[in-house]
Amino acid sequence: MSEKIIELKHVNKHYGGVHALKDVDFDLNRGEILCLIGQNGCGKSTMIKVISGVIDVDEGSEIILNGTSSGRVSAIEAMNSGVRVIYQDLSLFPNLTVAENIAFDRHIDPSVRGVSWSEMRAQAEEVMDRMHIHLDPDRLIEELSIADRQLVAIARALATNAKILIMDEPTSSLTRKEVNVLFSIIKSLQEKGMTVMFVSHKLDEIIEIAERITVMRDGRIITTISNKDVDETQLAQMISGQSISYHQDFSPCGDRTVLEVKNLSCGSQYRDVSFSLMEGEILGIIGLLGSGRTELATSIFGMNPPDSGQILLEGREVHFKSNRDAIAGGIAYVPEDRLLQGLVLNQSIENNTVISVLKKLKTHLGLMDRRKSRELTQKWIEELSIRSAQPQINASTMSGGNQQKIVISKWLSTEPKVLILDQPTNGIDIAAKSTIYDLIRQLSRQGMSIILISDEVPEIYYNCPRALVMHKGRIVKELDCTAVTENQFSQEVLSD
Amino acid sequence: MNSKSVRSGGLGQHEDLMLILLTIILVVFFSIMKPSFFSLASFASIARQIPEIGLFTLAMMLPMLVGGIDLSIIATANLASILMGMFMNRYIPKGEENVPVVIAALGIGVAVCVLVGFLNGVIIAIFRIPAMLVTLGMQMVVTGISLGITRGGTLSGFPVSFTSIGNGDIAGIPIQFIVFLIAGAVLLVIMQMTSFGIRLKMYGSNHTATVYSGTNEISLLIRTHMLSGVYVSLAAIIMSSRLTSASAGAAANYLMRAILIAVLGGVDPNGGKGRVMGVFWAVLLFQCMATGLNVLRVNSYIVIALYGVILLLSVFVRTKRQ
Repeated sequence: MSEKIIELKHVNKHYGGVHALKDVDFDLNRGEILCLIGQNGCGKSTMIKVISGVIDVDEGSEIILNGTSSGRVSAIEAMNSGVRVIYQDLSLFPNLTVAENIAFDRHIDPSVRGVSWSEMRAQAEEVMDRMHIHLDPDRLIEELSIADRQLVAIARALATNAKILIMDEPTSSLTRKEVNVLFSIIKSLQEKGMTVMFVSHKLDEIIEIAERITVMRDGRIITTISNKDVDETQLAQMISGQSISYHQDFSPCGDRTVLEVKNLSCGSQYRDVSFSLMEGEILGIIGLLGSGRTELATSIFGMNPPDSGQILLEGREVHFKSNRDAIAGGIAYVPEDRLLQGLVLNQSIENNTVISVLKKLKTHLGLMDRRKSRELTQKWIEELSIRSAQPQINASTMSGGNQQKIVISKWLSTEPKVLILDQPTNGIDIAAKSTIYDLIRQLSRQGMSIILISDEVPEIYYNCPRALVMHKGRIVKELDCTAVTENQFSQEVLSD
Repeated sequence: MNSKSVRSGGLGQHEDLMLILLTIILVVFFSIMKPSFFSLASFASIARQIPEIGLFTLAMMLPMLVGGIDLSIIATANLASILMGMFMNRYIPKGEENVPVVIAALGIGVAVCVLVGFLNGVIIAIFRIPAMLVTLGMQMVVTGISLGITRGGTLSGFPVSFTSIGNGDIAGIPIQFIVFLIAGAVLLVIMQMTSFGIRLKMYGSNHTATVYSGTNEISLLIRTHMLSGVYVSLAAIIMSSRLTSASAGAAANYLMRAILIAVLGGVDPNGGKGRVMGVFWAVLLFQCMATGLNVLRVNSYIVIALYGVILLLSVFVRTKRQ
């Protein structure tokens, strides 16, 4: 039997109205490589934060770190036990050198006064030797490729006596070759006794590197299995779960082109993008973070002016100076980051719903028609079944799914012709997900044209008859979801 | 789901009650300590003092609602007072009356303050410089202009039709108090019943989401500072007519008091939260305290320290509650 280095027992975590972790039992063995998988918002990030002591857990939870049991772990205790987290953004200092970044944590010790540059460089070299990598210690981080930065981030963790290395999606922006380099380094670290836990979306890579795989869904741990007992299809099924019965139910779209994008380019964000969107169509755009998907969407929404190319709305070329022009033209955009871009948390549901249509809610005196605005809000609360909501309640008290419904009702109030949804089900539970999917379909049947942007295969495959695959700023292929199976679709998407 | 659903209105009314209660306690305390405090004369004095600081606080509240601040309000009011005074002294010979000229002077006062607000708004919104720096710079520019015009002196000798605004009364109520009530009511309507008011609070709570929802932030910020300028000009008119004089350095201590009362009245320095009624009750509380301490002859230097303590306490109480 292997020794358990971390154990979680009956761990619960509430964020406001959201139950992020539900009675989680989890263990991590010394010297193993474990992978944590699940859809966006299933609780993976919360798990990492609990283990690294960044957030407190609810009363009654038990965390056993190195054999010591406690109700909670502080960030200092986690650090002292050798837990090191490498977040997706890597948390490096781009304006400092490789050596400075690697040796940084040793120098924040208050007892260390003054800096010895040669010592710092020697430390960096020593750590990089252990990893069998060779980067120029005097180069600035901002000059390095993403893959090399990843290695610096690992080196930085190793420089401070890391025992448990946690990596949040380390491969999401790496090429296959770079992934191979990373994996061989992870394996060699494991041979030296390191415990590695990482979060990823790429199922083939997970099966290749992880010895055990823990699947999370909707705040619960569904199962933990050996990589030898499972294949990609089974994993995909476990991730999406049975509770949401995905099925393709497409209604035919109209034959009128509503939106057309021709050879649109914008700096290094995206290049030469062309597509058209029909009346009542749900068009999928699938691509990873950094593929240019959000930049493309904000360009269509008038917030990110493209360098060249054309946008045609109902046959007429448009040049939006701001998103106000786009909204007036009939385009609506449900943004990627609900809490930052979508909602004003400390304001009422009513204000959040009517902010997009204030001009239409005026009485003849130019004042706000509060009765109309309340009626409009009430109408959406009922139509989108926003739970236990009165118009006056602050949006911050709602669950993620209900918050997203408020954002959507804000945009439906503008009666748009084109609705762009950017990762609309990010971090919301299955039930709310499925109502949002139903809503999207219902809207398309009423003739609204919809662009659904996501990085989740089932979300696109089961909602969009036609999907564009976006990769590194380009549309690399167009797929007909009615003509392929989900597996084939998934392979096509991941095959770059 | 979460059972403690926070109603946007409910919390505010609760805070108002606290302020009213504190005011009553203070009045009772001062009346016991010094029975002469509980007199028509001291209440009349309070009613005459409140409008100036109250209008300045409303002028301060508007930029604070969008997460900014305006450090130039007092300097601007002084410049407006000086220009109004110069205009009147030039076109109305000493001892004579000319109402149209006085009205034109009031127009100049309003225009100057709105113009300064416009400039503040433009620099903050278009060049994206923090309001604290912009308005601090503006304070120095405006004060410099005032000093240049007056050569550091004080203007006086205004016509009675002007000075009666700050010294006369209608049916026993000081004119400036009536002006303050009307101006406050108008702002209440603007905040509650116009799209501008709703955008203002939404923008203050989360400017990114508000801009994503189709709000023109440049126009919103400029309008906010221009509206603030209107309230500065009302305060300037009342102040210079009450004092029957104007100078570059008048009422310097009003700036910090306006910030203090705004925070006391529930305006969140981070933006998004703040109500006209809260400011109203906070002004009342503050002025009762100021007058009471004056009646008790408390050392005025100690009083400044006391104001600082109150500011820190109210910030502390509000952060605790969040």
